[in-house]
Amino acid sequence: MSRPPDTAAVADDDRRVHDHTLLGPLPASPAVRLTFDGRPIAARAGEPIVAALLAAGVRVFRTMPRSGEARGGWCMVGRCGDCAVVVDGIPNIPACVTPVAEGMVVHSQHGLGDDAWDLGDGSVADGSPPAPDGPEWR
Amino acid sequence: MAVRRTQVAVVGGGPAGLAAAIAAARRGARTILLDEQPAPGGRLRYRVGAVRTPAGDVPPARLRTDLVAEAVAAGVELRPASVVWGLFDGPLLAAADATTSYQLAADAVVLATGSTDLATPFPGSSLPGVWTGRAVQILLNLHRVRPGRRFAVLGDGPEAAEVASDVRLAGSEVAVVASPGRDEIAAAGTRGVEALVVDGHRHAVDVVAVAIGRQPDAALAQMAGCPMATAAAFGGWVPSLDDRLGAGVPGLFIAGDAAGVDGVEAALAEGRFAGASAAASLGLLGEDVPATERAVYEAACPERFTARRLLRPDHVQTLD
Repeated sequence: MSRPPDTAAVADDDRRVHDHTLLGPLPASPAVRLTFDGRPIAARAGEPIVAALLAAGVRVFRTMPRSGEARGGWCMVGRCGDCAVVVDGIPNIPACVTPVAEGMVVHSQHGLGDDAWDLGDGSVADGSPPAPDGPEWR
Repeated sequence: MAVRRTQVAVVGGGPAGLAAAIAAARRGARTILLDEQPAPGGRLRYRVGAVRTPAGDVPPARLRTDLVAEAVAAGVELRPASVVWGLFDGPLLAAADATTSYQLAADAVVLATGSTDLATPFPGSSLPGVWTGRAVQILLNLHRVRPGRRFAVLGDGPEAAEVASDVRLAGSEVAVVASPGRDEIAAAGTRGVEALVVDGHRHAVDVVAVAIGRQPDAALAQMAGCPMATAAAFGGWVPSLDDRLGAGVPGLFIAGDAAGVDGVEAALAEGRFAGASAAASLGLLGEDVPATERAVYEAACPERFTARRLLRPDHVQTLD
């Protein structure tokens, strides 16, 4: 089962801070393309995955192992785990401190991302929250 | 696993770490500075309001540029994107970057690992759209991305004021400022924040910035077995340090927010003193850290200097 992309309440095209009172205009940056859950995302070279996803209106990055609750980032310094995603088939990548790369394939992570390891064909399962009677940390 | 060697290793590249590395390298110590972020600077990378320094108020970006240039000129080896995940007897650091995992044996280590934002639980506090104040600053000021359109800011101290100011400087709207200690607060929404309810009043927002304060990030010090003490003035659990900023473990010094949350000016002064102390521990300064260095440190942050003395290991038992 695949979910529709989660979009932020921000529906306009003004998610970038193009002009800043103190910092001035947004500097030019080469474009980088990645996908998130199959959807094309336009990114700026050097920025972390979270920045690109927020700029594209994505607001939910993962769901939790037991409750299945949505999480959408918290600390932005690689500490909290709320933005763990599956990058090119590897789960538990902190999207807030991982730079974007051309052609990167990013998926939202469900639970601990165990399902992402098993496919081996470059694709990633869109896992659902774990069964309530599963092992404690599955 | 490869073991590398250096005379002084500094962990953390914010103002305290950069000042420590500069101070140590200028005294002839072979110095390596490791920072987990892609570029050094710490809080100077994402703050935009002027910060106070001994030379007056300056934009953080300029201070960062100057410090990095000074570090390079002094011969500091900068290693960004390097995570230090362990600190063992020696001192021996365990580090990893994108390609390598290694140990770094140092004659002296300065921990300048900074602080993290405090969290507070409230209904809806784990909803997407609830960020730390610092996360909002990083997104708006460093990455130039708005996490939403209308912001709520939680907190009633200087952190909240700065975050609210930064939101407005970026051209976004602060819909409400509230205090978790004073107001009854709940975030509402299904797959993300849609409103913040403050004392029964509903404010339509899609971002909540929690800016209620910071806590020292001294995990490596605790791992190394440093005696810790709790002090509200320093923001919680901090290492108790001796009069050279030594942490009760041979060769280990601590400076900046990791040793007590404070401003940039205090971080610079304490970092510089810790760097000098580290160099002195190698015998590069003769018998001891020059009294002039301690005087500079005390003059830059007298209240912190006094509070630090009261937290020294021989006082810890009586303080709590």
